Amino acid sequence: MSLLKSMDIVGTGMHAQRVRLNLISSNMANVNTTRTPDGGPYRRQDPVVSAVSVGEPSNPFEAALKKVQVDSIQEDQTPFKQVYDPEHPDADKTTGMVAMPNVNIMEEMVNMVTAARSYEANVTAFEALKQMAMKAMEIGR
Amino acid sequence: MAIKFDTAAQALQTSMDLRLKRQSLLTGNLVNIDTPHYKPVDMKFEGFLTDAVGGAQTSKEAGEIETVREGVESLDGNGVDLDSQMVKLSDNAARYNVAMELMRRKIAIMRYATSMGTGA
Repeated sequence: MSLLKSMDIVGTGMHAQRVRLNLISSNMANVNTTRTPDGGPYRRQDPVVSAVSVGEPSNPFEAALKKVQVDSIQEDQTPFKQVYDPEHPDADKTTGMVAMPNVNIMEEMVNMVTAARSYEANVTAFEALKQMAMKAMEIGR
Repeated sequence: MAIKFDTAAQALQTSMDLRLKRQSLLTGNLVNIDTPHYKPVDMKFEGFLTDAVGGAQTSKEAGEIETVREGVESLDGNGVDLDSQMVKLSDNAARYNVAMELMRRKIAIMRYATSMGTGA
């Protein structure tokens, strides 16, 4: 057990929050994107995270110690928004409806703020660990 | 019973060891703040130190790990509360730093004694 291991764990937390923030930026940037390589409008993306034990499971302490891992990026399967806009190049010729991405800007803003706060909390935890390491180095002074 | 240098140093060492482990546990809770179904864990060891100072027991057995409940779980089944984690985190770090400082001073006293009072 070392301080460096704890710092690694904080690192995984910061990584997960950064992935989340990147996906939120991507979702917000593509709020009006109607064309994607897979065809159809852009689908909102979300990270899937899970808690993973560090070290061997036989040791109760190490089994309880969990880092966070980004397992996959999942596409939101909720239906696309249908907007009436006959002039749009991707509009349905008969009905005049355009399928727009299933991104809700308000939702993304809220997620962005919580992700940023969580990231800051991780930074604070890292600062505390760093301070503890510095204190340990002072011991022989 | 007079506390000898060694006994007190051992108690401090125990304290620092456990504080460091607890800090990692709390950090683990914090990084999993968005993980569905994650339940926060903590280590109980207040009261253990008196045993250590009394010479009854030393580090290894202490620090039983338990799942804690803090307030209400969110809809995804995650039980981590950011505020209480941050409080625990800084409280624990401060206590670790206190133990380190005491250890530093103990060593300084010993150095003073070996210098025969000259302080060099």
